[in-house]
Amino acid sequence: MSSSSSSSLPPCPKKMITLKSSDGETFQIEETAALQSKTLENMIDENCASTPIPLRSINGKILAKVVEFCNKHAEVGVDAESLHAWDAEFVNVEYTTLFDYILAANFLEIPTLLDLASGVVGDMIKGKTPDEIRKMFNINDAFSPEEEEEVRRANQWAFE
Amino acid sequence: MAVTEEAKGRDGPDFSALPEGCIARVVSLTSPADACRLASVSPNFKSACDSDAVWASFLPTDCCQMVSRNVSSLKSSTSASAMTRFSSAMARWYSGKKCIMLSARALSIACGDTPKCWSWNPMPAPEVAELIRVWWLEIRGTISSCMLPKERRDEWLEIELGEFLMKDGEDGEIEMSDLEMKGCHKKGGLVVEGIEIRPKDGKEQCLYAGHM
Repeated sequence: MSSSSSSSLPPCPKKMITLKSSDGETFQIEETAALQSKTLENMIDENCASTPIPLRSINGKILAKVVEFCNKHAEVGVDAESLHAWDAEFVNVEYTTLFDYILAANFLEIPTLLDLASGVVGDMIKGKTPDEIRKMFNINDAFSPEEEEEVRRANQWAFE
Repeated sequence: MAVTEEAKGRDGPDFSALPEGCIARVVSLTSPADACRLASVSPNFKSACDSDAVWASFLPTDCCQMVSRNVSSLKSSTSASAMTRFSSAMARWYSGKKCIMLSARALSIACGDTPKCWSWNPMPAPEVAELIRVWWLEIRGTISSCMLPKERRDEWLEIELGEFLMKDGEDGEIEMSDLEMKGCHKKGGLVVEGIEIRPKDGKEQCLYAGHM
């Protein structure tokens, strides 16, 4: 993160790009870190990243976390174990924030973040009954009892 | 645990805010049994759980040939029962033992293309070959040994073809056949779904799944 380098090599100017959240906050991110996002990579390739990139579907709170994630994963010399621990802490949040991470990672096409957040939600629903899941996530667009019974019958083996 | 998870995020977006592709991603990180249970959570979940992306991700990576065959036959089929059958095959797979079905179409059936001898019926899904009349009964199947991997609850009857033992380092093709071609008896009415290869007490056993 530090811009001054103590290395004897001449410092290489870091190319920064600017992201703008839906609520108008701007964030600077190094291009090397931004390249983890395929969406941003395409914009950089097409020279569309010289002005702040508006991300209308991501608010400042979430974008700050996404930038933090990309910076951490672009760091050189982080061993797998400590990165794993950092990731676990990163997704230790309420599930609505996990959904926001998933939506942001899906929009920006950041597979590492998408898989990390999706995996946590996946672990939350593993082994649970449909009723428990509807309750846990406050899901209201359920089937009618007849429709549900039909879907259930088609997948009977999974309930045995 | 569930209570705290529930309390943690009561005010935010619910699952339906996620696009189907994202729900599918979450589901693909669970298990085939979870995916089938999750289908009855809501219509949104059902379409995500039924997506090819989810099932392709559950397929074992060490069995590319079977994978491509099953996925392509699944894609061409809109039949719910084909999906259910495929699901139960996956369930057996995930019970820890590999089992593979060589579908009737994948078998070499003598005169299989002659309508007077054999008819091909799409129902019950998947497609079956029904014997009309032949003097020469010859059904052969082959499987590459690198693809090798309970009691039936459906109405199919099994005919055991034999068993064999796989040893480490043995690669090659295993041929299996069901024959009656001495020509003394006229044969008819046999419905062939396929040949299933599955483990038996640590050994690979070759079984014939047919319906009389």
